[in-house]
Amino acid sequence: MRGNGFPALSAARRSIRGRADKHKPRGSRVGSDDAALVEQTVRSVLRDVLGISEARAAGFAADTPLFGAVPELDSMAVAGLLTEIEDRLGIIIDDDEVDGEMLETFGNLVTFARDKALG
Amino acid sequence: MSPAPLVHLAYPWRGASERLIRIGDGGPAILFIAPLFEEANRIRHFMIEAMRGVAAKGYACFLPDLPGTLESATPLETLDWDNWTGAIGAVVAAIGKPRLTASFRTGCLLDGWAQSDARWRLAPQDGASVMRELIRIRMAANRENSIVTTMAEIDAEAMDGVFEVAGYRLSPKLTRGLKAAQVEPSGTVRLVRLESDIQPADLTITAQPLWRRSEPDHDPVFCQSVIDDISYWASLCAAG
Repeated sequence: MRGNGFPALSAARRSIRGRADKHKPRGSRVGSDDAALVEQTVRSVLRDVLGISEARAAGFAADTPLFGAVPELDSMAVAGLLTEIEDRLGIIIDDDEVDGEMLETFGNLVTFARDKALG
Repeated sequence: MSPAPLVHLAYPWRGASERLIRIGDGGPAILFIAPLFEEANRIRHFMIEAMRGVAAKGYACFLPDLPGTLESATPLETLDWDNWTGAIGAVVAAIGKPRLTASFRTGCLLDGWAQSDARWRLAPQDGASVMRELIRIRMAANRENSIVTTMAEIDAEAMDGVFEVAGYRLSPKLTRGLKAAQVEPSGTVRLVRLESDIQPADLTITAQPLWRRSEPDHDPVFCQSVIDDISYWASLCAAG
């Protein structure tokens, strides 16, 4: 069993399309695939929780090291990071899934979130 | 016109009284409900400034301290979840039924007890979610003391005895109630989220989540968006 998966993300995706209709165009995110939506969410959560700049978060690549390399990402910040990813993607992260490898790089974290959210 | 002053009032609760702030005199009442725990401190200034802005548009804005929080003299560990929902009822008994509640984050868990049919909510967080976060904070603190614990172990301890986390002491009755508490879907709800949050929303605002900052901070542009939307929703609710 890997999370409650796709339906929650699907609701979020419909929401974004709905927003685009009712409010303002949301650029490349509209119509983007689910994998890109998960990556964008992980990037936004890192920016929001760590309080880092948009430019710095935008510069995160798959091999960018996170835990141990980003000073803002201490163990207390990890608590907020995981909870915020859960809330935004509609998933539950078990503590035995959280290890050094998952938080080692931006790419690892995105892969974990994708597997969890998309099944 | 000079800005409305901030007035310190009190509401009766369990034979004593708890603090209640009012900004704006006259006009329909709007009950502001702050997040629980540390987030209340982080966005205190933001909420007060939002109240000033909404008051300037002709509303009476109220913000209670829940028992055991902020300036309250009531020890937190003596409280259960029903005390907090009851406190909202006590505030409403003191000020009358508000036209609107304006709740922030976990404050949204309590707005169902305010008797108002119209609700404005910013980035609501469920009780189960905040409990998982508190458990993770406790796990991190344990790790710093070389104690390895699982979420399940800490959860079981918190259901059974006083849960000490991040400087708070929570009774099992409070943690059980908090864990089960959900944001009520009923009523006329205006749901506002940050633009970066992909969950469904009626309005999104491009801003940083001040409630996630380690130090209290302010963002006047974000605050103005909140002021405008609360006022808009309050006027719409009045029009029926």
